[in-house]
Amino acid sequence: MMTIAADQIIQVGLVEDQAETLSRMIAAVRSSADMRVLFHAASVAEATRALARYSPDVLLVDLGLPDGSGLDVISLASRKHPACQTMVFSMFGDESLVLASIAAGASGYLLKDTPGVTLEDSIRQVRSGGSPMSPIIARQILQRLRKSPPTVEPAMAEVSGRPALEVETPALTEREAEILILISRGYTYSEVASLLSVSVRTIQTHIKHLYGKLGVHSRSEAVFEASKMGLLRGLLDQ
Amino acid sequence: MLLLLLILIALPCLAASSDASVGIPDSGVTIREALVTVTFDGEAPSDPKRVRLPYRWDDFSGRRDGQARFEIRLDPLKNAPDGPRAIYLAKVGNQFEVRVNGVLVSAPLDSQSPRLDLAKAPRLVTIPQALLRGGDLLEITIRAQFLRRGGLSVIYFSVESDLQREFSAIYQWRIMGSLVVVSISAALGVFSLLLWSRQRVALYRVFGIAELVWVFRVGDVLIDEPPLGWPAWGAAVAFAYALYVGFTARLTMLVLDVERDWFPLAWRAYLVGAAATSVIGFTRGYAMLWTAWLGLMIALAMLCAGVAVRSAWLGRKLDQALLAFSLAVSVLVGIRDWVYVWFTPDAFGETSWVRYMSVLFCLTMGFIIADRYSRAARELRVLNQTLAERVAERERQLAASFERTREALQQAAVLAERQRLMRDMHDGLGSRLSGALGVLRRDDASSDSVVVEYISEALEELKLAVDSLQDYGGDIDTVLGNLRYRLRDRLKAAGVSLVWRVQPLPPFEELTPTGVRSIQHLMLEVISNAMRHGAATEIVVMTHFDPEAGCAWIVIEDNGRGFDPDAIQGGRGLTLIKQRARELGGETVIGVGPDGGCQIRVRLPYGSAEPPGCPECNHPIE
Repeated sequence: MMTIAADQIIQVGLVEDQAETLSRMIAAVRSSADMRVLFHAASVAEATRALARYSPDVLLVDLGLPDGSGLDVISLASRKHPACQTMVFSMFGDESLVLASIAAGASGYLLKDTPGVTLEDSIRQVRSGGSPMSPIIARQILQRLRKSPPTVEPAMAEVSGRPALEVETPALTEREAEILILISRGYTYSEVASLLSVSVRTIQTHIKHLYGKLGVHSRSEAVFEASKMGLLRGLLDQ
Repeated sequence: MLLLLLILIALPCLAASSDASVGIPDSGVTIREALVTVTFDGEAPSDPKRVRLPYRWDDFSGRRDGQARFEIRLDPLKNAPDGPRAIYLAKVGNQFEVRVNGVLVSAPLDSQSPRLDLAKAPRLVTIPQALLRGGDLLEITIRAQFLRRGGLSVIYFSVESDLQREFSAIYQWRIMGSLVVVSISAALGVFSLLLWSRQRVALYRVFGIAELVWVFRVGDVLIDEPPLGWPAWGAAVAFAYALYVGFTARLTMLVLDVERDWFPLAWRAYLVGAAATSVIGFTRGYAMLWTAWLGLMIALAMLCAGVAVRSAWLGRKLDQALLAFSLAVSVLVGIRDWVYVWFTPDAFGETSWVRYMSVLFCLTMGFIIADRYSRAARELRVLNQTLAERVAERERQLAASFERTREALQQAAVLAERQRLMRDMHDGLGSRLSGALGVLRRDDASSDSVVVEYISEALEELKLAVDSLQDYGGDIDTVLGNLRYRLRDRLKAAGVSLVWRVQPLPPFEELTPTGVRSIQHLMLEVISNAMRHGAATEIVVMTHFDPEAGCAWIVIEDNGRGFDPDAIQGGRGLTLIKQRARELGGETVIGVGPDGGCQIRVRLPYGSAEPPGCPECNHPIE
């Protein structure tokens, strides 16, 4: 039997309010030798308390929680534990919610009913690279990141008497755009890899970056919106 | 106000008419007889003949032009103060010269152009006292043109200062009076035409033209030397007079709002008649022709006056009453003139009154026109207001109707979408779930795998239905890509490999969820046909855009058994495929692929609008 080093064991946190689903998830994690359940929570409050104590490698979050949205848990986790890979555990068809989750800091998603794909595989996948990306999501990411990046108006800087805010605005690289276009057209990772003459591994890395960029983009958009509304002026003057 | 002002100007002139005839000063004498020698043009002088004054050339000339020399013996004035003497001639001409004891005291006849008509105004000729010796010879030589009302009136001989007083009164009456008439007519005529330029009302135009014609006619009195020679000028002035009367009749009908079909014809006949009688009458010397026409004009004026009086009596409207009054007065005055001036021998040199009466008519018409104009303006204002209200009302109605249409359209769209969803639920999801339920109820030992299959299919159906509601922004490639993404596991399980050659397509603007659903159904049908009937193991999906034809092609080929398209034309599967393509506005071509398998080509025409440029279109794939 292959022994697995303790630091290679994936520490998994589970946030799910449906008892039956939760127990199936726990069972699935327990059946894998390379991962263990660090904690499980059934509400935003419980998850907040758990995240204060534990630092999971992978966090699985259901979006519909009894006392709030899973999005809050995602953003809390991405702030407190930047190394933590958060995964949204969602119903199919919730692509817009998936996008919102990624914007909040999730690095992948798992559809509850995906046949033939096990929870364990998905956890490993998100740990190693990122979630599979459906054509619809690829198209949406393409559209979001293609929009002209937000900039802070010079007038704002004059008013505040400070240099303009440095807002990190990630633009899509040409290669990233190519990958997204091909995925949105229905090509698989391996087909994309061969079309672009790179390895599948490279494609996965790009996808991971793209998820990350979407999150940063969303945050910079928020900063931009806030600065436009004058919310940051007080902060700058302090 | 204007009306009042004009009446005030006109009144003194009218008042002057009461003492229009010259009173003979105590010191003066009236000469009613003279010895005349007539020389018709081209003929020898006649023998001297004693005649009564006034002497009317037209009565004796027999249509000829010529000269007449009058010799009168002047006896010294009794009880007269010292000072220059003068003779007053109410009418003399058409050209004339005066000599006393052979000495010229006026402009010489030889220097006067035949165009000159000095008979239009009274003349006062001064005789220096030094020339008079008692029992003096007064010679007046006239040159006259036929029908020009030339001749010599009764002669008043008196002290110059006395005659000067009388002369100025008559001069005022004849010349200034005409000037006033001309001024008023010109002012109101121009004013009326200005109104007409703003409001195309026939009344304004006719009145404006009539008054300007009248200005021409009356203004003739004020000019001694007309621009045309005699008799052309005489014809022109006569024609102007006829025109004025005709226009007056037309005006009356317009004011009374009487309109007949034959008016235009009658008007043309009148114009021809007036032109003919004036031209023939004057140039050919048929005086009676023109006099008869004048009589006809009076009859016409009487007719108009009669109609006006009747209308005023029946209508009891102020403007009609005023018109009837002024017309009636004018007609009476006209008759008086006609009878008195043309048929009374002693009336030579008397003024016709009609021209002064025309002021009354002119002012009446001015009042009527001002009244109508202001009424029209008022009505226009009210009309504008009503119009604005009606436009606003119509706008409201249109907005409401538009809102109703929009709502109806929206409801129709919602209904159509709802029906589509219901069909999806019922045909896809519902049939599979009820199938699964039926299997479960049978409680067959082998039921498990069947139920799993039913439920997976139901779930797949549901996913595709939900996918169709995503925003694709017209990207058919993404629709196809997503379908492939959904079918991946099923195809893998069936051992079918999918060769994907989806080239970029420009956005298909008309792509609705229903359209997405049609593409999904079309593709599913094609793929399941290939798998079931053709036993294919490889399916190639290709897309490309034909920019010249403005359409996209989706081509699906398989390596299965293929078929004879003609034999299978009626098959249900193919019918469904064709129907789905039609739903997208496209068509299907079914044939044999390069590998002998089935080839289905779907043509999707893009709308008439040129598809916008597609940035990814040049990306090399394959």
